[in-house]
Amino acid sequence: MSVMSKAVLTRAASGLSAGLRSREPGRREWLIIVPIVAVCALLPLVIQGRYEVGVMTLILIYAIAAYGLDLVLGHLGLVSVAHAALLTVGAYTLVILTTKYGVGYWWAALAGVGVTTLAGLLLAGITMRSRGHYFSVSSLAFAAVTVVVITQWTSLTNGASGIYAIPTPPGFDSTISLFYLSLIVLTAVLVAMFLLTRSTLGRNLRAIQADEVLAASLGINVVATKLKAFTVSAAIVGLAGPLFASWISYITPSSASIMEGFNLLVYVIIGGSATLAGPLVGVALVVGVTEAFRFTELYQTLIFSGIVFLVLLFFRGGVVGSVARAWSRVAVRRRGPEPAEVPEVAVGPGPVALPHLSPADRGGPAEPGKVLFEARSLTKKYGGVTAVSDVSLAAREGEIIGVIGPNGAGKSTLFGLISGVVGGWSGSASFAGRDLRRLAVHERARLGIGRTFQTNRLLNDETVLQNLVTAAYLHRPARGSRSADPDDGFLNTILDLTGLRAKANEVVSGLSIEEQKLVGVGMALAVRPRMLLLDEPFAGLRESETPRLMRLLEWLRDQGMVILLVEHKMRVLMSLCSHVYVLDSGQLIAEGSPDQIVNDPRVISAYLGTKNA
Amino acid sequence: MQVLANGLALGAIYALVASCLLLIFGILEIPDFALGGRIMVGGYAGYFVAENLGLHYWIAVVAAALAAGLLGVVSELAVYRWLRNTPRPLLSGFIGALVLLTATEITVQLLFTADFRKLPSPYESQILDFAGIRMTEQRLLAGVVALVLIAALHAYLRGTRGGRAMRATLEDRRGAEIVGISPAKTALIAMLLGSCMAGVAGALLGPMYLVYPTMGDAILIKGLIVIVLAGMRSSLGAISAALLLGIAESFGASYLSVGFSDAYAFIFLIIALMVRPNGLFTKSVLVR
Repeated sequence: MSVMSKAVLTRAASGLSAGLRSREPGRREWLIIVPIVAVCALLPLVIQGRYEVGVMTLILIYAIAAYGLDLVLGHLGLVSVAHAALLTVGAYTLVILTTKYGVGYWWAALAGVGVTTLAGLLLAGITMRSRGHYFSVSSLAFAAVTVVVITQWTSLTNGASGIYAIPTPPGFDSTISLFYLSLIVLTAVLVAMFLLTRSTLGRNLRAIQADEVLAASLGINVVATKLKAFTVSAAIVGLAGPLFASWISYITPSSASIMEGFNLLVYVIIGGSATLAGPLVGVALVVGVTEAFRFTELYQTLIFSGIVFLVLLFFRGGVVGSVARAWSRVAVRRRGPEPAEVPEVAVGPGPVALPHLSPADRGGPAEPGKVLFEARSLTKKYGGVTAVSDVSLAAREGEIIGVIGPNGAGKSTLFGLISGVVGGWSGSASFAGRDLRRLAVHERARLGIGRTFQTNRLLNDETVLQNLVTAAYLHRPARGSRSADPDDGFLNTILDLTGLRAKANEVVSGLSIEEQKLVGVGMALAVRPRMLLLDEPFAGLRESETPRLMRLLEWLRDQGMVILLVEHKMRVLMSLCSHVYVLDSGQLIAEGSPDQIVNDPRVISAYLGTKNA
Repeated sequence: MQVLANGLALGAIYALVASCLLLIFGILEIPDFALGGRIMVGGYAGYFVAENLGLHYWIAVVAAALAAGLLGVVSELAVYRWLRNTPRPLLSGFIGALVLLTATEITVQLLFTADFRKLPSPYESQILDFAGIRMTEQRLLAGVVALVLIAALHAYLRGTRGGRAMRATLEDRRGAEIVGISPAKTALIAMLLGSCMAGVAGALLGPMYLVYPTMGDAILIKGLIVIVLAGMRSSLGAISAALLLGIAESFGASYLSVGFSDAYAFIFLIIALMVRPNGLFTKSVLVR
């Protein structure tokens, strides 16, 4: 092996493992696409039999569909059994248009992609608002119904007996030309997948998969993003549909069955979900082995479903993920750990101006003393329990407002109401002159409400910098911002403010609780809020770190930000807050300056109990 | 009336399957697709006992329950238990259940071919005529047995020590664990009970809808749709939704089209998800 090709391989493999670690492919992962496509393109020179080339073509076509599936499986965590049905919808569209209505092949193929995309949009439109198992059950039902409809609508689809003599694309009627056509489409899909995982959409998908509540609080429109991803996924599968029809030349409703949908899942999981090479490797492996040993389809499914079980238990990341992990381990042993990638962080202007007030759509510069947030008679009941009862409060720009109360007083619920995570409340709330009632979580984040969570919610598998980049999603220029580089020195400023610069490239799950708290604050700041909701940010902080965060909050206040602070550390509250609200059992029992509060008999009794109690 | 009665009998079987799914989902947090396979295995066990051994139908029903129950226990011990300890149990459990379903179906197809078989039952040929409603005894029997089993399950959950432990786990897994209820044991019992009842469902369906490797799929999907409609937690909601679905299908089959009747459940699901994205009966809590 020449030195040159060895170097390429090593770099490709480390690119692969980098992609595994952060699930964000580095630039070097480009190098994976090139050999894959090159090897595929050269294979027909080695393996020339008509039958063998046919099998390889099928592998490429299934791989296209597998990439479509992995977009939702690997990047959204949605298990879809419907993708074989989507493929069949695309195939049938082509078949019906060409054989029954005499439409030209390419127009019919285009229509196939269109109809598949629409079907995907429809399925997603119905299911994406709901969570958890609803989607997978719906996908199961979608597959079953597609079979029923195609079987029953005999006048159009010829029912269970299927349709014969499906045309091949004009100019691509030989086995070998169909192979290269499929390879061209697959290459385009590979490039698209690569770009997509590095795009804002890809980053938002990772955030959603990790934590939907967090994603929404960062201003990401969760439902719309999922809808977009699923539609793109259906479109990719739609590309495979017409190719599949031409390849197989005889189609029946059974290609939409749950079993076929399950087979697609098997390819992706065995190959390696959420890796760039995984889906192709999975298809090639499963279909290749099946052909080599002449299994029937039943044996194929039986054997490989058993292997899927083993992959789930022992080889997370499938073949590609496991190989990449092993390779990087070997590489580390031989060369020692790779030097940490130097962050491309230019030295920013330092904490002189956090440009959170600059965008004109945020209502112009801060005016200290202006009421930014106002709530009247907020009430939230859970069944018979009233968690928040008739609470009114107001916050002016350039103020730190404290919210205190014993455990279970309703503080976190109150924050939930304001940020939009908790619905079904009564009363009124307005922010910067806008009524909050009808605004979803992400819309409130976009208006300028940022928050942290009492129990940290972060993207645990990603680095500090990646967390911040995702959080700054709202304020990246709309286009041409695919890189994870901090833009316009803004993230720099946040790294400095929170003191996390040295940790910028460390994975969040490896940080101390204290550092994770600061990442949470940094992410909330990256939303560029006008109002910041902090849920016990000082809890768990070392004494030596407390003054640092206090200084940060004071500095933010001086910039005109409103800070609502839930906190138990009285000393911190006393020195930071200009106004304190006291909650007990959901009721507002006192408010006023910190001095008034600590001397209020009702507050003392709420915390310490009365003498007679 | 005729159509309504047919729908209720069908709905009762859906309710039985939905109750099994709900019980297993509540304890294991896995949407147990493989239950469809156990329904089918129940059907086959019943078929072999009644047809090949020539024993009475009721013995066939018991054999179906035992075979499906055994398979359920094995599934829990060999597959589900391990998948619950993976980093992403939701995703793994889901795929694992699909693996089990397909593996069961394929194994049966390889062993016994995909031929349709009729489970013999003395009640299938008897037609009852009551106030103008004509129905085979088998259909009536299936509906009644399904309802009795559901009632028995609830009696167990409410009235016995083991049942109360199970209800505690349904309400709050961690809490139940803290007071000393073994999650592994509870899961095993849930799988055993749910699977036995699924086996009975298979033996009840066998005489009416024949026995074949994928016989569990359609009823499984309907059971799943029903518990989704009920918000994955409410058993009363699931039973009502099941009866409603049975009636809707029965009316659809009589007045619209028989072939499309498996699609009605999906339409049901679509409408429900559009109106209430998180289920129709989300407020109520399972098994009160």
